[in-house]
Amino acid sequence: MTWLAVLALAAASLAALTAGYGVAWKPAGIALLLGLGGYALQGRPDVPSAPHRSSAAQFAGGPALLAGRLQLNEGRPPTERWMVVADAMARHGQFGEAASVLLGSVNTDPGNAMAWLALGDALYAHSGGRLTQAATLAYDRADAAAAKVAPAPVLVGTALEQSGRLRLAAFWWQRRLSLAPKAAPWRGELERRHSLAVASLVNPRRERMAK
Amino acid sequence: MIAEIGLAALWLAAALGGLQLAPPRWAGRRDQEADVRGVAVVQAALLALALGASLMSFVRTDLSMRAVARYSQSWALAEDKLLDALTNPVGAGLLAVTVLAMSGVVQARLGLQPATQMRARTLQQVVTLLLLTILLIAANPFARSYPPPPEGLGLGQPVDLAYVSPLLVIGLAWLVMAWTIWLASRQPRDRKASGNRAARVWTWLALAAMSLGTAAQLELPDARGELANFREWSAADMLAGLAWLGALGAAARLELAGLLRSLRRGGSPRVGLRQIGALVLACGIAASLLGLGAAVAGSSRQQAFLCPGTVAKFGHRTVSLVHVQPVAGEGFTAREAELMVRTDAAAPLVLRPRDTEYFRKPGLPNQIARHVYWDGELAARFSASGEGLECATVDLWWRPLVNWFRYGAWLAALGALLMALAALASLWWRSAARRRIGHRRDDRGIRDAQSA
Repeated sequence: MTWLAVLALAAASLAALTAGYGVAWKPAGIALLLGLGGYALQGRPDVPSAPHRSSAAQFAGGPALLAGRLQLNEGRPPTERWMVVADAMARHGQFGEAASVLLGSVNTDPGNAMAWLALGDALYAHSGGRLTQAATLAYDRADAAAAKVAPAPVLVGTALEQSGRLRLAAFWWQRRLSLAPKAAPWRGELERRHSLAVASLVNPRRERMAK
Repeated sequence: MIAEIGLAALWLAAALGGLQLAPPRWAGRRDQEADVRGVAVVQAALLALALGASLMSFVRTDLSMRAVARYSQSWALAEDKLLDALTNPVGAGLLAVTVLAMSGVVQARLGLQPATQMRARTLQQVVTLLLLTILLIAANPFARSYPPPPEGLGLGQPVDLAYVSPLLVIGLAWLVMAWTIWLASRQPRDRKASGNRAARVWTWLALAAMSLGTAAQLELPDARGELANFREWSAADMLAGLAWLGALGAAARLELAGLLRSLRRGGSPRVGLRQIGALVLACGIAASLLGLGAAVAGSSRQQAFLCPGTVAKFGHRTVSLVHVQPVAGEGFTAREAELMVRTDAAAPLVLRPRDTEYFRKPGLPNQIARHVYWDGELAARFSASGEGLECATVDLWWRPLVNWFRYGAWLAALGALLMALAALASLWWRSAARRRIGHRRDDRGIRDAQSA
């Protein structure tokens, strides 16, 4: 097939030279044959082409993130306008756009812990499942906003666990502990959750029994 | 298959180059001029096809092609893939040879004396064939490998050169056109003036392309939000800028000499497109020189550690961090700092630099925010600090008149383009006048013959 295309190209060139510009066909033909000879020496028509799609694969865990947040909210879907739109975008894999929408939401209401959590999730998914500094900042703000109404900053760690990101959850509890003041009354709760998360990584069955 | 067709087109074009250089008896030429024109057109079409095949392979990220695997990656944006194709050493060679061949086709319309035309074409064909030989033997742009690697190695071309490089290559190819025409018209019996005029068209086109490349390089990365071209200028940058401006200035001086002479004599100078172009060019050079000098001599920089609510002094400005926000964009997430810059005289200004994490094009620097005043620009860079995610280390720059360097580059490009257009118009007008005189002579000859 490749050879056919190459021969067609040479024939078209010969036709253009002789019919279009009146070049003598013998020397033109000889020159083109030499060109074909060069291609025959160097060309590799047997090697298939290998076009490659982007290796920055689409993050596939979007539904799990949404389900985790729904579970955290005791099965109640979000009613806030921005969150509904952002969740719809996230369902279609448009995490970057969802993050932009959620940024509008947190700018309007900086105390909305669920919006910060959703923004963190969107940023995490947008970068293909990496905990970037931007996602960390959003998660930090989610914990800070939740801690104003809850006894301990456990929102993000719990959301990470419920969306199946156990390794990340263990890391998050560890991070929370390292940032927590020594005299904080909720430190014990964080330590308990951290040890449970670490144990679940070592032995998933023990984790289920503990629950 | 696309890569193979590109390689075949390259070989056929090289063979046609050989045919053009063959002695007329071997090539069996009847009408030498028509033959050469025909071969030039087909060769240019074949090279355009090869360049198109290379671009397409890069856009599709055909990893079976060694050049793609070495200089590009699948996750790059389509625009970056095209730049990867044109800025890598092999792709730049292919671009140069294609531009040379296509310019050769245009040259046939420039009204050169036939003998000069033939000599110039031969010289250009020698250069083209030399480049094609190097490409085919030493640096084949369509070399294949099997099995293909899982992903390309290239991290994209450095933004520092991404835009200037293709335009520089095009400019160099046009300079080759100018030199070959100039050389070809240095024969005792030739009308040197027509050769000089044609060479001038290509020279100005080359200078316009190069100036356009420089101006685009200074502006476009900002337009893309990468802002990666921002750096403090070194002595080498200064020397390169001076060399570029010096070359342009020398060319403008030649064109303005006549205008200045007639002004000195007190006569009314003739002002046409050429003189306007030279004036625009001279203004561009002056603005660029001023900007370059002021930016190198008078730039100041300060680093400050800021948390929300803290304030830093920078000259007569006070800078405070309002807050840090997480943001997302095409291929990156970032922490964006909102900086409030206050002065006594003007309204407060907001700058939003970003501490960026690229996941498609790792290794790019943080995004700088800048504000351009008439007399300089204020820029801010935000980088991570060890004190948590809510605080920032902020670098602030004030670079006086640096924007004049950029505006000057655009003006210089415009001036060079006007000069090229003026030279082209003059050439076209003279060749039309020659044709008119020829027709009149023919008519007179016919009338004389009829009366006889």
